[in-house]
Amino acid sequence: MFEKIKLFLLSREANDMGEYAVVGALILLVALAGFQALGINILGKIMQVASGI
Amino acid sequence: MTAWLVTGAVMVWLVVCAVYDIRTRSVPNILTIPPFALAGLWAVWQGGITLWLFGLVFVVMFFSFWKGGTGGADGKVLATMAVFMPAGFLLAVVLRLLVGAGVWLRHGRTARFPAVPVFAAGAFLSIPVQIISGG
Repeated sequence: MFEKIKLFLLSREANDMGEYAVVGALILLVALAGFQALGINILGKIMQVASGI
Repeated sequence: MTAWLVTGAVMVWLVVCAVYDIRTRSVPNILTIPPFALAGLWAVWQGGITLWLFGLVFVVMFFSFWKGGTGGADGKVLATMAVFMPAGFLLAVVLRLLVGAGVWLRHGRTARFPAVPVFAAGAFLSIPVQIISGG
């Protein structure tokens, strides 16, 4: 596991497979929608943090 | 004012990374590891939702990398965007979905595309959104 994390951190590759791009993006969007549905305005709050940098 | 300086710096960084990605299908570690580490430290320092989002993106992109579906540089760039440019991150994810679907339908499920230019396009599109929303 740690070896894989190290490989991930050191990987220079920047190619996405179409299938994984779709599934990964859907997982992220569903998770964000889930946060919003739970009443946590995740993007709104992070934008506040970002503007406070 | 500082937020726009951060946005500008992220945009310049994304453009440089996108050019590398288009030309070589890879991004040098010197361009991805320091911003990723900075984003991780900032997320840990902020805690709460910022850390959750950074962790979520890291986990999703790491498992995608583990399965051979994405590059490590893509994961580091997207996680960094999630912390420093959340509106750009959201649009980047939507564009990644659309471009990925297009590539998948047109060239098959194992076809690959350079993802960082897609992320950069999402970041560019988020600027008018931020202006309109007053962010």
